[in-house]
Amino acid sequence: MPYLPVLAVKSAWNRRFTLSLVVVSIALSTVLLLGVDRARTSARESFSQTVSGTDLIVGARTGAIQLLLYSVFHLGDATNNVGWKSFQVIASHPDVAWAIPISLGDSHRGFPVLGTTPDYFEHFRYGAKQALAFAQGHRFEGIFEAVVGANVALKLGYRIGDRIILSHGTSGVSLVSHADKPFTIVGILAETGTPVDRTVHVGLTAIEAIHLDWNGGAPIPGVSIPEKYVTKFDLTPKTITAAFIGLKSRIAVFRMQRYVNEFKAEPLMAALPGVALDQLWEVMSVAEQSLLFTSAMVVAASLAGLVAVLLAGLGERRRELAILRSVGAGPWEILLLILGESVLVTLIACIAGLIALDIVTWLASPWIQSHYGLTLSTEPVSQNELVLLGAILCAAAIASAIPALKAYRQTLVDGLTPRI
Amino acid sequence: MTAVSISNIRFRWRAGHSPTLDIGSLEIPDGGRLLLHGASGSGKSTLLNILAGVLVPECGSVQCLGREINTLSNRERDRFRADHVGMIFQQFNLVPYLSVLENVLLPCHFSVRRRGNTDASGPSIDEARQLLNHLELDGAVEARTVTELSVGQQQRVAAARALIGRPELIIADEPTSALDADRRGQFLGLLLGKCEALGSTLLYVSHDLSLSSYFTCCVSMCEINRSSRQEGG
Amino acid sequence: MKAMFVVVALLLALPVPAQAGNSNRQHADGASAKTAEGPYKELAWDELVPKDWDPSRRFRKLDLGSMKDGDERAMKMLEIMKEEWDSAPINASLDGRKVKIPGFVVPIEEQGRAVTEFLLVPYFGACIHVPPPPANQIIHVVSAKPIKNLKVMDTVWVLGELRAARYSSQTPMGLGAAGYRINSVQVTAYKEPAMVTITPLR
Repeated sequence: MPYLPVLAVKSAWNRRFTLSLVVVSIALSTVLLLGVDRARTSARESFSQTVSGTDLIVGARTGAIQLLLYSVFHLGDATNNVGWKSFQVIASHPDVAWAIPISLGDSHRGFPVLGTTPDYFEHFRYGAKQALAFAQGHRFEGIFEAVVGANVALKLGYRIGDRIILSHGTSGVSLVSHADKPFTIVGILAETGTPVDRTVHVGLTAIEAIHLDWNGGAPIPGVSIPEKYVTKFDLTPKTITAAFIGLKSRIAVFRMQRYVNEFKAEPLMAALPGVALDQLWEVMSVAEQSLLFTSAMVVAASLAGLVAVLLAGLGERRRELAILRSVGAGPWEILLLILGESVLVTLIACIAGLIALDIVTWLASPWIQSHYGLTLSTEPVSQNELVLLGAILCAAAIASAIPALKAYRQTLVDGLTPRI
Repeated sequence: MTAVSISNIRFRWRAGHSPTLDIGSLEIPDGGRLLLHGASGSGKSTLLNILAGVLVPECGSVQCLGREINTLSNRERDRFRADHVGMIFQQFNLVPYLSVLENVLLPCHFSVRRRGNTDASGPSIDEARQLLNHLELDGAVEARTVTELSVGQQQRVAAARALIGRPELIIADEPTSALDADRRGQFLGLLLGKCEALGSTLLYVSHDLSLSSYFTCCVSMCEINRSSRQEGG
Repeated sequence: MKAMFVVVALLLALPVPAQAGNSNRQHADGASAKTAEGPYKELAWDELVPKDWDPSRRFRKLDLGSMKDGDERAMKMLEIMKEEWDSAPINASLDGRKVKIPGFVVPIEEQGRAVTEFLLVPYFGACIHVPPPPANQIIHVVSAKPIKNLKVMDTVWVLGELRAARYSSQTPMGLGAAGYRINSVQVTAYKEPAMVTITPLR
């Protein structure tokens, strides 16, 4: 009996060419299944890490998910803006502990530019209530000073003191830029694993300043206000894109939300980040479930291939199995032998698939980080993935019952004298 | 002492059909050498399977080495076969993915008794080498893969496998049919010599009656099957 | 018209927590079998409201039927009602009690895929309903151990020690507000107890 595993290994090795094709097929399906699961888990974790300690996000009246996406992830665009006066009224509400206004709409070489106040660096939290830290330099103070995220600095090779030019619009290609008003980098943030890493932060006043001689998204022809004169103008923003609100008591969040939703001066809405995220995941879950289902079907297809190969091989193994019967193996041992070979092949394929997935994750991680600001987990295998691998092995064992039972019945009839 | 004693057994493959085997009596004495011959379809494969404990007759008794093997459970019969029976087939005797030595040592993995029952006081691997030597297979054979051996060599390796650990009963199912006359004589000589030396009982199936001089008894299937008791001549 | 509707809604919303509390009490025995018992006693939502608070007292004498649509008094009533609602007092005598209370989850702080802080509210859709629950019908639950697979509007049992006092939240600002808080020991799924069939008397 203890010799059975040795026999299974040697037997499988003997037919390694045919079986290796099956191994590749199962390995690829494992990569697919685990990959889908890893992507959605990482995305969920990563998204959840982006904002912490913020009670409400205030913006123009759209939908909670959309508000979350453009204010936190810089994905998509705002439908409308929030008036500065409205923001000030809301910020002065007795329940509010702090309020950070943000302004979006410009970009720098594909990276979004965020206009905000120095309070941002004070109150913004991510992950498990972690504050932003500076790898180098400090927050902006003068008008044309900028603080860049870790990824921006890394990808574009920036250092403190470098001068950058912002472009109008959020696309990667910039056709219109604010070349007359360059910014100096005074701070580089430490890596956070969130969209902060790929953002360029400037003051709200700076956003106003660079649009002084513009009107409706284009520079006014013939009008040009040089840098040194901007301070002569009133640089108080007229509108902002959204605001992050922190309350003195988290219980006050519902009445504050109602207050903003019913704000008479302007159509506004307030979203709870946690709730908006859950709603986002619910929308995504349909896509996730279909992807998982499809991947499971692919695994099933590859296992069917394994079963077919084993079944086909049984015919030519009747002699070999009769020899084993003659030295004392029983029909059960024959069944276990076939089952063992099958599970062994699947196990090797699963491990190969996992290693392949880890390599792909390791290679893709930096690209995803710089393009989406999301971190993929780099641990070799998560608990959920182990469960999925176990499920694949169980499915293989169950599917292998077909050739194993066939072998069992075959050997009962053949005995020691199969008729070939 | 009889090694094998069959009495009034009947076996049919499918209920409702006429029995394949209907044997009144068959006896093989201890240390005896029985040549069993018969045409194909005469039921000798079925008889071999019954003697080896793979099949169970629907009635009667099969006594093997003093035990009623038809009353044993499946597992016990498999164990009995592993411990006490060595088999040699007509062809394709060897497991293609095991080496020569591994093939010879195969029964030792299924039977503790045979593993321990070696001539030399050392491990079974020495015993295997010794056996191969006695069967005129030199050390060079060990290194070859099973598929590289000639038929004659394969059969002798199979014989070594059947003999290792000294099982009391050797069943050989037409082992020399695929060999030419010279090799046949050589093989028989070696096999019989070894059986004698180890004191094993040999049941040899063949359609070649010219070999009957080598054996103590000669029985024909058509004599014993569906007929009354017959003494071996 | 809208104002009247909202006022009536506010008045009607008051008994809802009480009803929820009652129905929970009836089924307490069925549900408690699965949760860790010991010193945790079930708390009804209406116990969180001090007995002497009655936000509708000002309106008992008002005859809603006699008002015309868009009546100024209705609007004023609405504002006062909202104020009362917002300043809902807490029942300080509950401070330190070990409680077990069911409710709906509104996650507010997460770590990875697990929730570390959430608000527990007595009715479904508290974040989209007008009016939202008053301050004494919301519990800020903090869990030392992050809870997996919890999402908005899940129904749970929360076990822990109730704190009912003025407290400052995590943010470093001066005055805190009054509110209920539980440092939860255990959060489990709430299962609807089996319906009891009532046979009519003959």
